[in-house]
Amino acid sequence: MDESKKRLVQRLMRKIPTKMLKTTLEKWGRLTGEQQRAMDSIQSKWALTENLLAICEENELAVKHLTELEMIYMIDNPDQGMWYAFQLTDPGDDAQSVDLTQFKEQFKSHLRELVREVSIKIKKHTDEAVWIRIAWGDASSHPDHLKPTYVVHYLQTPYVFVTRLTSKQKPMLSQAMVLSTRYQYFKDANLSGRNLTAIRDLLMRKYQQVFPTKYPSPLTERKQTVTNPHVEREQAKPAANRLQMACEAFGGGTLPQLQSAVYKLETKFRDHTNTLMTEREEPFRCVVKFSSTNLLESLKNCASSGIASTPVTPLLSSIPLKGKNYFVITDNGPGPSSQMRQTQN
Amino acid sequence: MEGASTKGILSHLSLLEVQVRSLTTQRQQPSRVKELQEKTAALRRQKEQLEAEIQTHRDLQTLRASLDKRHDDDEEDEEEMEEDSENSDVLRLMARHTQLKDLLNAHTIGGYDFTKTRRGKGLCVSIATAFEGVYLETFTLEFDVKPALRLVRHDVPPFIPLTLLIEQSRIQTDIRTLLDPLSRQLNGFTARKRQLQLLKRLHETVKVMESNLLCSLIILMFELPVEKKVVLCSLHYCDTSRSLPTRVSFQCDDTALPDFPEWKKTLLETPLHKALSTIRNTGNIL
Amino acid sequence: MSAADETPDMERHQNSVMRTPLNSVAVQRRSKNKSYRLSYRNRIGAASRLGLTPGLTARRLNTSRKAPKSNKITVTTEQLTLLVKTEWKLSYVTPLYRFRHTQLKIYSRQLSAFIAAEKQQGLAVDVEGTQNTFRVSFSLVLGMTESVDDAVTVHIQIHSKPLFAKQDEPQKPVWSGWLTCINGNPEYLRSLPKDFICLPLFCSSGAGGLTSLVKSWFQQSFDCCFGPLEISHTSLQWLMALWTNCQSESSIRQLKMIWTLPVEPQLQVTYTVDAEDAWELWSSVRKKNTAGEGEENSIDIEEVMSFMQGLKAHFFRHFRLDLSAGSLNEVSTALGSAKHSGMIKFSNSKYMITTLMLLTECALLKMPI
Repeated sequence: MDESKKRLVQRLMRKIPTKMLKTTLEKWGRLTGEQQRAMDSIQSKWALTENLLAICEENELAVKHLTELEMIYMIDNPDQGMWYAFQLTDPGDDAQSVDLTQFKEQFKSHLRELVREVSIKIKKHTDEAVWIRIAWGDASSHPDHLKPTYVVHYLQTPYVFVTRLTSKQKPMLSQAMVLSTRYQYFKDANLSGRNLTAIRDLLMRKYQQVFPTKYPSPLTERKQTVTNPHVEREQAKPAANRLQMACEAFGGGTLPQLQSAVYKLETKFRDHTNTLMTEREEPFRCVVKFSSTNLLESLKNCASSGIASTPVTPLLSSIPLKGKNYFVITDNGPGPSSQMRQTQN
Repeated sequence: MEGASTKGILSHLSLLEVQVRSLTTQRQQPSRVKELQEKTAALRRQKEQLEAEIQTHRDLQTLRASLDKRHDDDEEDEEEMEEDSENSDVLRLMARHTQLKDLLNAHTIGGYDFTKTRRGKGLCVSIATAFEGVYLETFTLEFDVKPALRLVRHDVPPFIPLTLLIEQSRIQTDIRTLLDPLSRQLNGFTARKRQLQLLKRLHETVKVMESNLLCSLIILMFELPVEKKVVLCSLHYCDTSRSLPTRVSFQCDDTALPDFPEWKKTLLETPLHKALSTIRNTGNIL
Repeated sequence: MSAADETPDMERHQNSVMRTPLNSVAVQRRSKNKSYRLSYRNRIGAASRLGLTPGLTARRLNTSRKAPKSNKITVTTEQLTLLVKTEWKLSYVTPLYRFRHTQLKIYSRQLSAFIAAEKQQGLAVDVEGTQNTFRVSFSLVLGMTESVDDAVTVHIQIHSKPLFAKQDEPQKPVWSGWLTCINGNPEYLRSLPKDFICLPLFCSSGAGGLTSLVKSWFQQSFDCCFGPLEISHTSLQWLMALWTNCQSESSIRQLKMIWTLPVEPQLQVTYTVDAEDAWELWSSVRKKNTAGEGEENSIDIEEVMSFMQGLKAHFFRHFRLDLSAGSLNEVSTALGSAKHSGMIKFSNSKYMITTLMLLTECALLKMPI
């Protein structure tokens, strides 16, 4: 067996936890019943790897079969590494009618035109997501299957989710994507996170948004901290109001799990107690990063508990509203796409 | 006729036009003259029908006027219309129906639920969708009112071309130029999604080979029990504001098999799950 | 009275009491039911809180301190490299009874033996030559004092061989620590009975097991007590100001603060300010220096507070989120970093003394009287 195949098997086995191995191998369906049973009985990771190597030899499995196994595992466990969102803009007239077969063919041929040594695998998941695995090579080397790029796209939507893409590979992916989806541009959506589902739900608006409609859905706060009945009565109304505004800004129910949001502030320092700084021409440069295990949930609780004033500032509500978690804030004028004007009040 | 009376005569006409067009594309063979003759006959029938409708509508108007007046005058002169027509009972009921409908419409401006927000600075519009009498999802848009009407946020899925619809509308002067086409798009989408769900639930032997989020392309696979052949059926919904496909095609290894014109017609005219029931009931597929 | 008899009990007491004067703002914000306990406190606690007893007023953090100056340090570069760029865990130590700077060689041997003995206890079989696995060396760090009353800093290093190392492999440093006193309160230092050496600040880095072994050897040998030294909110703010003040001489690169806000799930805010802008804000809140030419440039607590207020206000103006509701956990610049949990790192030896003066002060506040 050649070295690269062996390394791929070892790497795969290192990545897939033992308890998930069984189902993943079953879905793969390349093992005979007997082989599968043999794998199930082995405990140590090392022995499992050795056994799988032997099976690959026996069943004459090639690298493409192994990448299939990797994809199966990846699709089921996408929340690893950083995912970056990209947005396709300026759709052509036929963008809405691109179908999977068309897309597959075109994507492969466009990318192969740009990079000769490239291995592409496309697989559609049950939730309509098109998963693309790209192993890149160059003029002098074969595709590197140990560092593949993963791309997730839902046809007819302008969003593309990518993990493990280098800046060198980006222009090529961009061009292949644009051509095969019939859009004009492929640009950074300024949204990233470890949880693919979260950034997808945020951009596809697949989370419960709360609107100030006539018949609001009943909002329930998970934890009741106030116990004194008098205090409770006194605070009930403003608290309910704060909760409503917090939900309107960040959403209701389970919120998409973002880990962080970054603001690059280049705004003037304004403080009536400090004339020296207020009169200064240059902006006050700083970077603010908010992080949490579930950022939107934390911010929502800040607003509902009163740590953050309500109505919530547009800077914070822009995270779900614009589906971004990287912002450059300046005082004046529109600039690059990620910029946002500072609202003064 | 429900669709026609609410959407207006013109859209009904265009609906018929589409139907006529699809009929003609199916049957290319007959001579042009015969085709035109048929068309004239069809149009004449339609004209007669429309005239009848207009007459009924006039009658209804008079009834409505008197009904509304009676409502205002605390039900004074009751026995006015009695001898006018033998259908007066039906007409009266219809008049009452339209009256109630108008009342309902007045509450939810033309089927949309409007809410003023942020002390008049914002506006929220909810668009409810329905298919075959069942309410489906409701979508909401929130606008800033000042200085100009501007969409702030919404929960419309990304495959609905909302930006395009806004560009094509005159939202500053008439918000309905956005809401009406959007509502059609949303209704079309939810209706197709619903049909696909029903199909999966009701027809387990039919396999969905391919579909997308917008439900604008559905490829089905089913078996012909007699011929023992597998057939692929592709449904294209090129007009995404509609719940019915614009193009249906079949694919089969056996080229000797006909192009299933009957099935095409059924699939183009009836909702997917019902069409398949019809086809299945004739015993043609498993 | 013998300090040895008293300290354990005193220390437990001090732990809760002495935190108060450090940061009265923080205490007020903490739960209300704590305040009644104050009235039950012993004379020291109550007195120092009110600041009435003249002899005890020094037991609060200074409200004014000298601006840091560079190149004060005369320590050899070799010894300096041992102290900088390592993150140290801070503890305070009560005065050492009969500690002699002249007997470091003996202490080295004693501590080696102590560690070997303790380690051996854990093993089931007697291993030949365990005594040689840990080599301890005590050394003096000369030149790192600020006043005549400061005791000379003592540095301890433990070398060891990895468990499965080859015979001829050299020993590697596995643990280091030092005890220091920089500009300790002279009134306090002079009030100590003869035979007590005060090195209140203990910095350690390395395996936790070794830290506790070193501590227990000190406790047994010099009748002293150790306790964790946290860096209070006020001290962190002081460090921010002191470090930012250095920007004109040596770039701080950026001023970084990490806050945590008490929401579920916990929200962390990292606020990083450009070095030049931080310096400008700092200069804008500095009062006109009334001191004449050549006099020491001093920094006042009010200036520190205005600096912080300015930073918080700028943040609030953008995010409408009140940082005061949370706690400042960490501050860092190119000169060093400090964490509330009691971790400190000196990245630039030039301004180390100022930081150590502040930390010595904090440690002395924990001392029993």
